Amino acid sequence: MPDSYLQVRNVKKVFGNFTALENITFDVEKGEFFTLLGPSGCGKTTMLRCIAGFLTPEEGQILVNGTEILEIPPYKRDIGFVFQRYALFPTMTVFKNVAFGLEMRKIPKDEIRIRVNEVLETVALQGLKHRKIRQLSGGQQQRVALARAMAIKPRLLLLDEPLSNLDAKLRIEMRSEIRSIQQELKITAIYVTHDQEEAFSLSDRILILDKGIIQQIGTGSDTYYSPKNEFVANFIGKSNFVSLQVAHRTDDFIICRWGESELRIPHSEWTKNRETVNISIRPEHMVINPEEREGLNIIEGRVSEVQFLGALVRYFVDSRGTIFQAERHGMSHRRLNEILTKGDKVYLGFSPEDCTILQINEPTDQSHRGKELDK
Amino acid sequence: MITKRRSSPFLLRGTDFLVGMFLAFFNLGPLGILILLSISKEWGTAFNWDFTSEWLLTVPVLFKTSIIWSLLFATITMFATLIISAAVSYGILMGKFRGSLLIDAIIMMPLTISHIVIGLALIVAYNSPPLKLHGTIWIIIFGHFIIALPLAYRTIRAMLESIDLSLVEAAMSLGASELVAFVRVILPLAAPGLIACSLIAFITSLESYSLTMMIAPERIQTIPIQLFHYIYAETGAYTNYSIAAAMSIVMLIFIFGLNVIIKLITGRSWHEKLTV
Repeated sequence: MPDSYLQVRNVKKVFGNFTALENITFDVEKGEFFTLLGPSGCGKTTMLRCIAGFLTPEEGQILVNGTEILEIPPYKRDIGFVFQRYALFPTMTVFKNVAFGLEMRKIPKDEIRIRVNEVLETVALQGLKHRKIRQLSGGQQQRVALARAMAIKPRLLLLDEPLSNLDAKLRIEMRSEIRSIQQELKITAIYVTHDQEEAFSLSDRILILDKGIIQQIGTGSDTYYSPKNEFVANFIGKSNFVSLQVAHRTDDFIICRWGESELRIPHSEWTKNRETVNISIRPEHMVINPEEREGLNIIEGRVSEVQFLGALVRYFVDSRGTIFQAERHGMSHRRLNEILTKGDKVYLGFSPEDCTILQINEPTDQSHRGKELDK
Repeated sequence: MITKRRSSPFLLRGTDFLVGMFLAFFNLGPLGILILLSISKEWGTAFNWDFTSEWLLTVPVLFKTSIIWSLLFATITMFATLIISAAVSYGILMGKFRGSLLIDAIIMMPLTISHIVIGLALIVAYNSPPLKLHGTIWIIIFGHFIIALPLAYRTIRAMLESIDLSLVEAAMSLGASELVAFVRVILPLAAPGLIACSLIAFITSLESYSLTMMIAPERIQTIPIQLFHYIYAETGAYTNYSIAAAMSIVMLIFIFGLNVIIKLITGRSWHEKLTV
């Protein structure tokens, strides 16, 4: 198998006592849209700045096209960067901003003019090229920032939460614009965001990061339907988490008890020798019924809260002290009277194939810590 | 909320009147006296309406050498402080130095020490080899640099703090080395601060009396030192308040004119840059 276009190997970055990145390894293919997703402070921007060269990792390697880039100063890396606050040059016009990178490359003036006009056309800013930056709206500034980074035809385009300063509607517009430009020009892009919807709609693959450690790498549907651990299951969408004791095993399922009912959980490699099973179930996979019906995996409970959210109704159901979330989508206007109210007795059901087995690593961590203390 | 409104710009209210009187007495009063002094033929116990341009015209000739020395020191001080304070404050803001608090303290310290004491310290420190500066013009240049630096440094640092330094990173990602990024992107933005800073450094050097008096070699006179000879002299020596006043007026016009010219040159672009 040939090497990937961008290879990040065992990168570690430390700020004083704080480990911002630990053992980060991932690959990005040429022309791929790759997203680093995680809550604020998870290290995603730090990773991006290491690739750009604004930060130097303590350990590890970063290779672009087979060449180690950590020794190369940032201005020779040929990597475009779009900043969260755009960082446009306020003393220059739109044209001058976009031309800056080309001027630095000592490209002849005529060619600069042609290339800047080309790029400005891609981002639909032709008419504004003589404007000063402060005369532009947020969305326009965003496009200039994008155009400026793309004008140099970078080997890699890095985007650091570029849409976070725009209002909700513009953000969605720009999102599809960025995606289509990237597809059109076949740029390899690495995008940083904390917004999972943004990550899903833009990316080919997503890397989920928390506390400087990779939680999962995969496509949007991978991370949504088969989250590897509780963090991913919780961070990507909403989830119900239950920790269950195994009662017995059949050929097809693991049987666990929940009060008087029996829950059937599919077998997996992870649960083979374990007595406790941690599962997550998406709220939209929870069926909520006011009457008891025949079926698998029925949980009895009482509605503790009802949220009407327009497209869906979200119920919080208390069963044996645990709160489960269930969502009901596509309610017809005529059947609004079917919305349950607080205190109603309900039955929740889910199909065994909709529950995800989570891998919990805590016990090994604790034993490790114990050893350290003993010394 | 109550909005204050002026009925007419010409009608003074109570506080305006008080502030106006204060300024007139304490700020404009001495200045008026200086102007009168510089054009009066004689200044006796009674004021007489007998004016002359003699003082103002002789002053440039009388002060020729000290004007040259003063302008030389002021110019060197200005460039030296400008470069050092821009470099240091940029370095500190970009997190390039380790002991930034210490550097800050060292630069600011001369502000708290009397200039006479600074002068004394300079003489004692550089009176003997390896670095014997006493008796040379270098001791004046170093002295002026030390007292102008904290003022210039603060102005530039405040200016740079208001600039988004991720602009440097942006320029670097586009292929500019850090120096090019600084010159092409940060300098044009910092221009107003740099000009303000250079004026402050220039004037600090031009006006320095007590420090210069302590450290200057016998043969070198700057404007303030020569001025003092016309104001206070030992018995029998020649004193002339009008000459001192005339020289002050010339300096005032010079600095004011400098300010106006700078503002005219940079005025419009400043305004545009500041309203980003």
